[in-house]
Amino acid sequence: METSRKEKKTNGWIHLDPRTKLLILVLFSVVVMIDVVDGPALIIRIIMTFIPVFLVCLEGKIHIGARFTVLYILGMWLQSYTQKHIDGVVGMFLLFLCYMIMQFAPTIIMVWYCISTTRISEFMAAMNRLHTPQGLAISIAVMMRFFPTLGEEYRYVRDAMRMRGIQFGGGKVSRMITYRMIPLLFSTISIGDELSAAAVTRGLGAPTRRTNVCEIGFHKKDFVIAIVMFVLTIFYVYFSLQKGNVIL
Amino acid sequence: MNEKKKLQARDFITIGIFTAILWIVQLVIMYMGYLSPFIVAGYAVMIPIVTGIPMMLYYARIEKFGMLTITSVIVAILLFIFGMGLAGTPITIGAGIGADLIARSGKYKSKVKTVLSYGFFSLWVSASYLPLVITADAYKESLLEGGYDASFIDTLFRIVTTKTYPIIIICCFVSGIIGAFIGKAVAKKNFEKAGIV
Amino acid sequence: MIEIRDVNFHYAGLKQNGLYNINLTIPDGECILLCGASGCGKTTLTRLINGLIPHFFKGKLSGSVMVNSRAIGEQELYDLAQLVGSVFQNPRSQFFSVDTDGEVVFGPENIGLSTQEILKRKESVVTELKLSELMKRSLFDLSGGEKQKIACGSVAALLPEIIILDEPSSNLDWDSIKDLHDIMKHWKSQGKTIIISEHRLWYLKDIIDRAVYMENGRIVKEWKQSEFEHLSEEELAFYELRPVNLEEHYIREFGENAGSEKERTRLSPSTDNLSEEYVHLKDFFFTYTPKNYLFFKKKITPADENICTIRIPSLNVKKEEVIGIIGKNGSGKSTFLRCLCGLEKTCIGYVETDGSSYKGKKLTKICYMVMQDVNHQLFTDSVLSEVLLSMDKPDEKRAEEILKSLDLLEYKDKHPMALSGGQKQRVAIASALAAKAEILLFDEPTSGLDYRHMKEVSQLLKGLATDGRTIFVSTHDPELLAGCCDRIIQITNGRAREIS
Repeated sequence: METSRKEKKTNGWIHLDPRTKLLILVLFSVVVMIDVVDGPALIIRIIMTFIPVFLVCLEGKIHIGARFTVLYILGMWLQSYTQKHIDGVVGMFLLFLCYMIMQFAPTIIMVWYCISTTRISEFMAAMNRLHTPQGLAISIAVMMRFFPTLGEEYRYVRDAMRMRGIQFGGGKVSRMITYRMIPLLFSTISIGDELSAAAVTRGLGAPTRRTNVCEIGFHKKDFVIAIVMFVLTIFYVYFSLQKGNVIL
Repeated sequence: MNEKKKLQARDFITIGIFTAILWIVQLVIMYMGYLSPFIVAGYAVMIPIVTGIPMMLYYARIEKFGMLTITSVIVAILLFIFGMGLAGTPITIGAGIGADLIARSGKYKSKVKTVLSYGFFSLWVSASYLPLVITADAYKESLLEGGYDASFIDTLFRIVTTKTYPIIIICCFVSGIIGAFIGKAVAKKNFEKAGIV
Repeated sequence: MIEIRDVNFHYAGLKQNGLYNINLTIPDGECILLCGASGCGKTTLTRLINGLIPHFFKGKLSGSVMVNSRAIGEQELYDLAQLVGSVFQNPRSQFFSVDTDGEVVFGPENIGLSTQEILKRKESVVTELKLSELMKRSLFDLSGGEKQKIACGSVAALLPEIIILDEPSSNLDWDSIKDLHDIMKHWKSQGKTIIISEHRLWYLKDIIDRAVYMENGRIVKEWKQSEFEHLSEEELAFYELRPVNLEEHYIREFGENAGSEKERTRLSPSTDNLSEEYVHLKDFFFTYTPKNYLFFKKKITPADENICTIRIPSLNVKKEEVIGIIGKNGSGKSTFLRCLCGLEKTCIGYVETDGSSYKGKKLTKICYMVMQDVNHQLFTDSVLSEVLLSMDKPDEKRAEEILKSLDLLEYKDKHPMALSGGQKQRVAIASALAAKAEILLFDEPTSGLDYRHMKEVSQLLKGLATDGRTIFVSTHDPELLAGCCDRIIQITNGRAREIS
């Protein structure tokens, strides 16, 4: 497989503790959970949305941050424009599009940031400190490792479909689904078996307590970011409660 | 195939892989949902049916107690992260444990029990409607303020209400059963025929 | 010492790949090669020693497998991990971490060594195997060869006495094979026992002490190193083994000297008499990293040559020929093939043949690629329907003719995934023929194949060319080039150069 080889650091400059990332992820999901449309809460929400964007930029992925920013602003503008000027089906469609951007894009960029900057062994170490059962930790770690693989495999399948002109399954939805799913599942099974064989011959599953070499620990920056996020979340919840939103 | 009844390292890897597939597939469907309220309401049907294919393969790959529980725990965590709140968590995990218990009673071999188990597992899909139902009024209001068409909101909340919630749950279950049959059929046509299950 | 006594084994639910009456003693520090055709039981034998049989793969096992007088079956896999290390065939699927550092320490972490000890081991492994350039990288950005090196490092960090390599060179280019050779040599000097199952033999002749030849699950022949090195061509052909010694000019073409920038000349054979017998490739320029305008990617032009991954302004090849494409991993071979069959949308190249010009999406109409991993391009539940799927109008009679020409007719109702690797490849070819593709591309079709299958592929490609198709085949196997290619093009840094 010949991919363009770029030097990619797995550890950014602001190297946060995985548990800090987990915390901001949780706080963030509280915010995403509650919908607001105006007032101070909206401003807080926007600020919080841009914290992961800022972190992503610090990782050197400025173009991703910039694209997201433009997309988000465009979404906001389109939303307010549609509210005032466009009715009917088109308006509805646009609103949904905007809603999707505003609602999900921040979560995705946040999750992407957390996964792409956390090494598996760091994650395992954090899970260990949080007393998560090891089996669950292994499953989640494999999942994190498997998302990019799944993407890779999907691209091969998509290419193969393009070469044969069957992307649309001859117009049948069931075929569109199975033509993608079947080759993917076949390669998933073989990858899974090979991965398991490699992992168990390297001692995964030993009953001894697993060591984690990487050093994880809280530093100043962890506290700063955690406190900022925490305070913002509290204000956010407060303002939206005043508006009568219910929290779960 | 597996002599040892307890989950082992290899099984945890398989669990991780199949949960990843389950999540990605449901995410793709969820995104389509933002095209129309009918698709939102259609989650209860579409997600169980489409994920039936990988899930039937998953059932055949491990056959040990705990696989579905762990999957459901991970799904619950992911649902929370994606903004679905905590209300659905007990439903999701309950569905996982229940599905595991049903499948175990058939020793993970019985076809009927597997189908029932997957139907029960599919109840997790209903958890993603919960925020919509519980916060209906506030949600409605915020949508209205957001400039959404009143008729659209009416449609959405006529389909998804506290009263129709049991119907949604039944929908999930029935679609799960259908999905399991489709998944079984696809598995028989492909994975069994190719000799890998 | 490894002692295998009277072992018989059958995989549960499988007729193939079993072992019959295996007796083998491997003293400490010996390096042993397992060779033989695919499915002869080499891999199965390695699994007996690393404990994957009986712990991971289930089946019926009799006889005894002892390492240092302890039975493998009675030890848990995680205990065996410190005794036997395994490097597998597929570099993509054998790492657990996403970063290289994590992967090297993965084993020691699992068995719960102290942090200090792990870091010490990591440091020594990194120096010994020369991995320092690969550290602190994402595993997803490494080439196959680099991944395989990391896999070696990950195994070595557990300090096993025995190291097993199962067809480790299948997906590697020459430079990576050389690195692998050096690593094995180093292990040998440390006194480790090495067991390697492999089809490519030329790089192993100065490492191994003994070669064991297997056939149908039995050990049928053994050679000492001195005998093995001097096996005659006739003997190799008799045992269906790939060459032990390679001709001088291949070493030059594939080896280090290949493609030094100085030698590079543009390829444009006699453009004056461009008759109909030629296929013309024009303006093949492509880059994975175009200049970003935030949202839009700038369309590349021939003037952007210096940022391009592929830069082939013009290439004319004769129809009905087999064109071999060689080059190191990362030189752009695969990318070139992807551009040629229209998979890279931003590639501006076009193909002229028979007076028509094809560009972009239209290329998929006349070009078809058989991918390195054919599993990705098989979609349906029977061989016949796979072929029918490629036809505009399903024509069962024609489909059966195509299958017959590829010796697949008897499998027409089978599931494509139930077939062997070579058969799957032929199914993919069949669907290309059904789609009436005139230019067929093969991305390393012989990686990991044994002598007989390689010969078969070679014959097949020749036959396809004789039937009027133009074939491009990228490869690292000199045997394939010698067997079927009419001309050889070397790609270096995205530029093409013909080798006579």
